Amino acid sequence: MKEASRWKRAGGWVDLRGRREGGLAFLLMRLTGIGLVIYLFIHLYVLRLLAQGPEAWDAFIAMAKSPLFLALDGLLILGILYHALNGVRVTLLGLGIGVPHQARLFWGVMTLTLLMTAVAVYAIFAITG
Amino acid sequence: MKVRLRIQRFNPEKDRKPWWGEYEVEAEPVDRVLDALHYVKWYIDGTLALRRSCAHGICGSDAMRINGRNRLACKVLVREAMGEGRGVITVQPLPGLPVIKDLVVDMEPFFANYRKVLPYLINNDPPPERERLQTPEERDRYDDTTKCILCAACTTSCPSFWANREYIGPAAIVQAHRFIFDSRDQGATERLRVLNEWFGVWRCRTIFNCVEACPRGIQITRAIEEVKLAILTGRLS
Ligand code: HEM
Ligand code: SF4
Ligand code: FES
Repeated sequence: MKEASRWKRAGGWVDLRGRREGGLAFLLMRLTGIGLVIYLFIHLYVLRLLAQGPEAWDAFIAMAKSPLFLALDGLLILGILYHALNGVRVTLLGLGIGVPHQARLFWGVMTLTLLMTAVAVYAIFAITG
Repeated sequence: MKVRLRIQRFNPEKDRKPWWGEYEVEAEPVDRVLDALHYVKWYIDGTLALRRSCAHGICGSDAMRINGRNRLACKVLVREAMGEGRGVITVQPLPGLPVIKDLVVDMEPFFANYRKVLPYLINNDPPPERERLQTPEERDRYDDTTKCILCAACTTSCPSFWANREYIGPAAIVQAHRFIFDSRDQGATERLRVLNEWFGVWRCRTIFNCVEACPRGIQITRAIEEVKLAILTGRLS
């Protein structure tokens, strides 16, 4: 008998062939979730500047106002919004609510995510720009 | 029409690793992928190993991965598969289970999970004179999950199952659902206990791959959520 290693088998979660909304929603959920974990650590690392006094913090804030950083903020908001909104979808499905409409719920999540991200990005650049 | 097939081959007595066999066969557009596989086995290479029995979508023995999707080879038209694969049909064994030879996988982990849910009627009352009666509404309650043919397309399409074969899997939950919600059955408590364990229903991540894969169109995730709710509320209504 031939057996792919457990890691290789488990790695199939990124394979989108033949998948539809539900599979895509899960893939994005996991990717944004992992992204959020990484972001959390970067965030904590940056916060340590607070302990080093006002100069260090102000220098960081000056850099954080660069267009590149603001664009990254937009990416972060995109990820958070998708994760949170799809989190609501997954929670509802887990309670047996809306299961036959899961695909439509996914597109609703996508639409809301993009709309709210657009508003947020506009606000960020309008305020700091 | 000319059909090109890429079939994942593996002979445990000769090969160290699986390899791709490429075959060209003549087929009608409305032939099934199973017919093309038969052509390979009967006229090109008799050593090709695959399972099939009924050839009409009833027995569930020829589930395999066609163009990356778990399906019954006897239910996919060559025309359809050629379109998806841009002229080449890719055929692999079901993922997540050990390969015995070519397209034949070891179904034992799948059936071990199936047996865990006690997939038979449990009723300790003395048998009545004739059949145990049930209203049409009571029969309807679990109608969808009676359609399962145990092909394993769903369970082997599930990332949770790929990550850990201890996960009982959608097919076993479907089979449990079929008895849990049967008004004649008295084994619900025991089945719900099994499904509430670490590798029971809570491993479901609502990915819906099982629903996409099921050749019988069973609303599997709905059945899983109904079982989850029954565990949470302790009620079957
Ligand atoms: C708005 C707040 C949040 C909500 C509503 C939420 C909700 C959820 C839900 C419902 C899931 C899916 C679980 C499943 O597949 O069954 C999930 C997955 C995940 N979340 Fe969150 N989450 C939130 C914030 C976060 C944050 C801040 C992090 C990281 C620090 C995070 C990390 C993850 C990870 C890594 C996964 C993937 C788990 C997996 O794929 O198995 N989440 N989240
Ligand atoms: S639920 Fe559908 S996909 Fe799963 S074993 Fe039964 S028939 Fe096959
Ligand atoms: S051969 Fe029986 S289901 Fe396909």
